[in-house]
Amino acid sequence: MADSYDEEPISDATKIEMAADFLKFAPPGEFNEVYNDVATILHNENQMKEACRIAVPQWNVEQFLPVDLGNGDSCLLTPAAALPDGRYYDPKSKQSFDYHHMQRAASDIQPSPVDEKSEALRSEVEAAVEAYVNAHYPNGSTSVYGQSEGSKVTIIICIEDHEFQSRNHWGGRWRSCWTIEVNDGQATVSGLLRIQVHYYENGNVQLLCKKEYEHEMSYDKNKFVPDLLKFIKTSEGDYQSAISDNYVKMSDTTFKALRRQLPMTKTKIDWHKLLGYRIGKEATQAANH
Amino acid sequence: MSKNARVRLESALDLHRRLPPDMVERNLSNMIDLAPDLTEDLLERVDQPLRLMRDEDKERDFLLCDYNRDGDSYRSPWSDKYFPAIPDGLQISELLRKVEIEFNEVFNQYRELYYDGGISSVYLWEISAESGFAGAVLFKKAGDGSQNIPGSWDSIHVFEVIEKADGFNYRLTTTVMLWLQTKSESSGLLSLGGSLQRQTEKFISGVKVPEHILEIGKMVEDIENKVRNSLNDVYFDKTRAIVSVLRTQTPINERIKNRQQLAAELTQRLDRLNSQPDG
Repeated sequence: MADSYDEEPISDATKIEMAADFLKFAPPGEFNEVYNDVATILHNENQMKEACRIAVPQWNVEQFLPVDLGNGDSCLLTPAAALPDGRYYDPKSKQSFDYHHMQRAASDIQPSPVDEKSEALRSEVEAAVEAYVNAHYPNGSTSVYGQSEGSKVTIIICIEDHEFQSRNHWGGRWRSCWTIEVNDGQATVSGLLRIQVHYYENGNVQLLCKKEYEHEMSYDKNKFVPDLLKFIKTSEGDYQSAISDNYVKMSDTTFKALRRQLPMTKTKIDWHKLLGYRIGKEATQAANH
Repeated sequence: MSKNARVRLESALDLHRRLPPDMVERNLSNMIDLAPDLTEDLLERVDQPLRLMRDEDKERDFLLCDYNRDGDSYRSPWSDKYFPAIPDGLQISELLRKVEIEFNEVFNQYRELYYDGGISSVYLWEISAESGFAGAVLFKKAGDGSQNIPGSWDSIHVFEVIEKADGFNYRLTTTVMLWLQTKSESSGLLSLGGSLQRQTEKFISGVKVPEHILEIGKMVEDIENKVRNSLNDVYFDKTRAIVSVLRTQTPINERIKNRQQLAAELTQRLDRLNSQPDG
């Protein structure tokens, strides 16, 4: 249609922005496919490079990508892992590393200074979280970070699990992030749980879930970690149950409100009856000529 | 179409199947900006949630799609006029228009029986190559919001009726778009949405000309019922099952010791998921 070509062609900067936007919304486990699609449509290597520079690090870090550091060490790539110099940090092995976002590989792994003030609590939480993740996440990974500022200690727990089956046209990722601020005998716990599932056989169906938490606890050194894990386990378990219940509700109620399974007669339409004695019959036949 | 254009179109369609379905309008608009030479093909092949417009003449809403579009205006099935008004908008023959009116009346009743509300629109057009005609049957229903569960259902059925030497061939391509969103204290924000595609074909042999509205009506009804069941049984269950693959409620005991058993269990679970018929 001529009217589409009359418009001003868009600038290179806008093209790059749009390409970056597509990359940012790649579903878990499908980044490569989305990258290939965008590169083919864009058909410009330099613009693609620039779009990747904008979008790829952000995508990798937001996805909580598991990183293999070699030597049996592994960790998650998360916002909490980002260091001011562009490197990333593994709090368990106490190493920092460079990360090549396009190749998804760590390099130049070096020992890194530890935040002494938070380390005791951090490693206690880490041990408890690892046991929890092993029990409830079949393919899960975790990284637990510790920071301190004055009398305040902050622990950040990141949990990730994923399953990708591109041959069967589905994939999914679960991400938990719990931030605990301990100060003066009190602990503030905030949580963000996110789930994304994509099913794409003969279609495109996506489930996107998000829930936030805010919770106050008293900090008693002797029982804090067990209490914290109990809270996390209960919250995540209840959340998973609530999602399941929600499905039932959607299926029973919303679906019905959108389209009935059958008309109120409880039978399929009697088309002959519906059409009655329509004059249209002649018009329909005439339309064939 | 050149090979290069075809490859880019396939990439655009593949991309469309991966991006979040609730962003389809914005994504399509951006895709067209990046590949303006593919505009017509993208508009035809990428399904978007149906928009509607008011027919000021007949004071009735109608649905918009590529098949009733001319430039930036759309033809209403009620008044046969373009909105906004344009001189010399594409028109179908008087004879076909009579049939189109019939189709709209019949599918309006179908809509009432199955959707209890919502909007329907049917657009027909001539096929130049062979003897026959084609059309699009559209339905849109939005949740009434009273149950705190926003949602919407869009159906797009594109059919072709072709006269052969020994009978009539009917081909139907169906896309159903469904979107549900819930907000609650216990389950937070949950969006479940997407689209399914189906195709069916049937051949009616014989000398007598079939009643086309009836044949197409039955095909549309059957396919919509099948898709509705698919959405309910397989897609809801499948996405829910995938969540339970990511995190298990009951603890995996002695994970290190029984790693093999765990792996076998997981494979079994996934096999069950994958072997469920699509309906």
